[in-house]
Amino acid sequence: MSETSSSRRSASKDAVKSYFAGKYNKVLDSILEAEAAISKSPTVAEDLSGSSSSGNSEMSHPSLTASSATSQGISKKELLQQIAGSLFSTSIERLKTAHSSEVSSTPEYSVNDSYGEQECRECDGVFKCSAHFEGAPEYYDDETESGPALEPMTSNSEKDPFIDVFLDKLISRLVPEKLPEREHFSSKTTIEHDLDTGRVPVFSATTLGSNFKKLSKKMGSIFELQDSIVRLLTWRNPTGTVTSLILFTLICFNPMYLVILPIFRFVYGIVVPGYVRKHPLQRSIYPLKRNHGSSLLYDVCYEGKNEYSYGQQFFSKSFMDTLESRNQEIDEISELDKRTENTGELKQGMKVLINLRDMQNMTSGTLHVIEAINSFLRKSSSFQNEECSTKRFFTGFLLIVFLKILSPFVNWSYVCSIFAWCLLIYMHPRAHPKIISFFKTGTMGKEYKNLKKREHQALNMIFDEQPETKFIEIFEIYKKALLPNDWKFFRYSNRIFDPQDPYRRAQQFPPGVDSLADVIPPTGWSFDPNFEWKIDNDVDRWVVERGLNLPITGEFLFDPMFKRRRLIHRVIKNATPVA
Amino acid sequence: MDTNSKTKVQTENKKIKAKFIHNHGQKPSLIQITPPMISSTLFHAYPLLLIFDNALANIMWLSDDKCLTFIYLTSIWLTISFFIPVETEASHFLPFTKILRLWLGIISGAFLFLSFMYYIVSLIASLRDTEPPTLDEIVVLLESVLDKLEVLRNELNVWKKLKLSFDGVNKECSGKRLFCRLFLFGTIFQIIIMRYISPGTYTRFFIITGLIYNTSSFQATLRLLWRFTAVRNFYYLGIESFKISSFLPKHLKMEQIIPLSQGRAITVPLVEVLPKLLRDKKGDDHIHILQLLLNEQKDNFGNEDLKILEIEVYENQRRWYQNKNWSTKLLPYERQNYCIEIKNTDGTLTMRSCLPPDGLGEEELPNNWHWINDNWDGTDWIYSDSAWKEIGQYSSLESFTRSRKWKRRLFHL
Repeated sequence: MSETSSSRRSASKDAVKSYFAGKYNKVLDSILEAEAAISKSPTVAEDLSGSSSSGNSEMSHPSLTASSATSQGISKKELLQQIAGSLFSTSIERLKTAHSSEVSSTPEYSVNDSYGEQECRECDGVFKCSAHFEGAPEYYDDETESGPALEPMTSNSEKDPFIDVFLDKLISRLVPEKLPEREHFSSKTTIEHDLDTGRVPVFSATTLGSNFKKLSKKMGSIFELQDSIVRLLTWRNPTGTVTSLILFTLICFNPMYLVILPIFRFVYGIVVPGYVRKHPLQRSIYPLKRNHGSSLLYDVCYEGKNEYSYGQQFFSKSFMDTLESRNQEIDEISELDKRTENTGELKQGMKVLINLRDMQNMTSGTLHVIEAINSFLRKSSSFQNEECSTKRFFTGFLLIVFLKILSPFVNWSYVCSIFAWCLLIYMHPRAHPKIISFFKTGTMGKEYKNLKKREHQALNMIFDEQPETKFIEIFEIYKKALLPNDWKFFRYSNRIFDPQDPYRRAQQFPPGVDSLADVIPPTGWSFDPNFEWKIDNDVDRWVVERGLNLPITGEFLFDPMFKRRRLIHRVIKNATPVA
Repeated sequence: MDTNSKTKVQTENKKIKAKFIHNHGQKPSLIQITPPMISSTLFHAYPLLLIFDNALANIMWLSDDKCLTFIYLTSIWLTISFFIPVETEASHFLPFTKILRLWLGIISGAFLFLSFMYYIVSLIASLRDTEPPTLDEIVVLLESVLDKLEVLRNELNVWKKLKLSFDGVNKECSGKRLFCRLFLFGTIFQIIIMRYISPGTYTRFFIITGLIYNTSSFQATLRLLWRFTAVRNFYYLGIESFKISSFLPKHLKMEQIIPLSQGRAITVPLVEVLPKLLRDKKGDDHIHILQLLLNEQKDNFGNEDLKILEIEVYENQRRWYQNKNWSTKLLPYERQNYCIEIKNTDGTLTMRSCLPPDGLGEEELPNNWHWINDNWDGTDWIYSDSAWKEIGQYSSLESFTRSRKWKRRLFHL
């Protein structure tokens, strides 16, 4: 019963597959033609009509090459009609093949497939669609965005490149029309319901692509933020690091600063500078050319000495309200206006590229982090290394108890702020090696002690849990010889090989071996060496459990061709199962 | 023909953009005209000038690295806290907190001192290493110091701002009076504050405020707060409540105006002037009688005098936003929509609110006073800035207030 159903399913699958292959080849060919027509040919209409009437995909290629030779202008309307026409012809093609091969097992695919076809549903049938042939641009427009029907096509084609739309449609046909929400992904029962109600967002390659494009432009600020955080953590901006530490300390002692500081940042970082820009404070201070002297904090915190110039730190940007700078500013702006937008575009392109690279780095970084977390979780939780995992459990347990008892006596403000200061001082590029070497010298002498300690610790734990045991079965199958009651050993198999067995029905040998020595236990288990292979004498029991209705004699179960008996063996679970 | 007209149009459309004046351009070399004595003195003072300039820049937060200045500020705060302990609620961490604060105070004090010393040492070292400054460089530095000091003076000169604001009410406000008021109110205000805030917090607050007062952000904050009428009202509260006018009726009437402005009246011989005054008058009974009297008893009036009084009512308006319409609503502490200038006993002038000219015209005049003109004569608007300082006759972006005078004369028999 199950065999028949599975075979039918596979057959229908193959049919669908071949159907898809044929259909999309045709659609693709016609699209390629249309693309070529857009770029080159004015006289492609005839070729197209020819190819569509013949319906042969091989035929379309010569026509394409022929059309590419000519190069004259073509009106957009004509061109669009051609595109629509080619689409329409392919859809007719597809329908024809569908009718001839009568692949009726997938009706939902055969009805709504390509552009023309989907629109044809509106006019309730294929044959009325000849009327649509003239007004092809209209319904193409309808298809891509539900605007007014007679909107000119040009704007639309600029928005959505043709191939994008095509890909989008392709994907939307290949995947189920409505994808379930993520939260429902695990429970299958709700999917159907959601599909019916139709409030599930649809997957679209175009939207995804455009979103990525927009994101890559807009992600700049996020990456800048990320970059500035990294700069702060690595002491590349020492005063910034110290300032953020001070602010962090403030937050630790008064969490209200979590609200206050962003507002402060908004008011004094955005609003007040805006006010000052509009109503300058009349502070015309003349900037100095040279500056002498340097700050202690810089020289202490910077890795290389005098890498920066103190003079540059001072007096460079704070004179924006002097008249000279305003003059320059205005000149620059006017020049920028005059210049062609080439440089701007170049800059923008570079920015997008940088953003894309950062995005790529971010995604790969996220993957690394996720992998690291996963491997840690797997290692610590799987008890592959019994000692290690036990130790982890023990330390974890102790920590829970200890921290719970300790928690009421902790002043979090001090702990957090002191921890942050220590951590960042530890992370300082110049202080880091010194701190490490300081602690290493302290631990040098302890190494021997540690070794002894470890040896001692090894005896702290004992792993003497009773391992799990189970029994395995193997069937010793005999084949009927020429004489009655003459049986010949056939093989050891893990299948009963009764008349209903699929292998037997397929007239194949069951998987098996000739010697018991070749029988291996299931993975993660090993044979009990103190146990021999034993013949199961309680035949009735395993026969009844399997629902077989065959004669039993002694330890054997008979059928017209074969007899078999069950051998059992005891297996013990390995201490370290394979992951 | 066509091309000609085109070029003409182009030349007409072409406009030229004026540029700002450069204040700090190239200057003639100073070496020849400066005596060597001054040059050498300036050269020796150069490091000191640099230190002073840097100190001023730090006070004004002109550094691009605001974080550094913020760290200095925090260090100063912690150092102050070392000397003036912060009052905290008792907790079981008190000893630890105390020790931490003391330690932080010492550390930050040491940090500040070391930073200062390091700066001076590195400054001297870098001066030794680099070539000596030219005279022009020293002068530029001097200018920079002067600019900063000028800005500081402008921003710290609260007195000037106060006086400017007072001008809205009193044309000439004596400094003594202003000082008395400030002193009185300041003291009361401080006593109230001191009751609720400990001296330590008070001192800290003033030191920190002093350190950030000259930042552009703080100045911008003050200006932005000054935009709110509530803030201005609070600021002028003291003046309002101490003004004599607040005990008097709000709008002056003719019967009050005439005695108050008696001093301005001119006395002329009656016989000569009265006929002229009465020449065109008709209608009213009392004028008719006057005319008859004049005709009959011309000789009897021979030695008597006629008092003539001109009343000037100021009409004031304020513009609350740039590019918006003029409003009759004015700030509560300044001169009101219609007011009249009155001389105080000490000679200063005060604007006192009065009824609008129409209202004054309809009122019955006190005994023996008669209008000379039938209507009020209005002058053109005079535009002035927010503090009523005159700008000119035309409305510009600068002008926020305007006023005009309505004149009418009276005579007393």
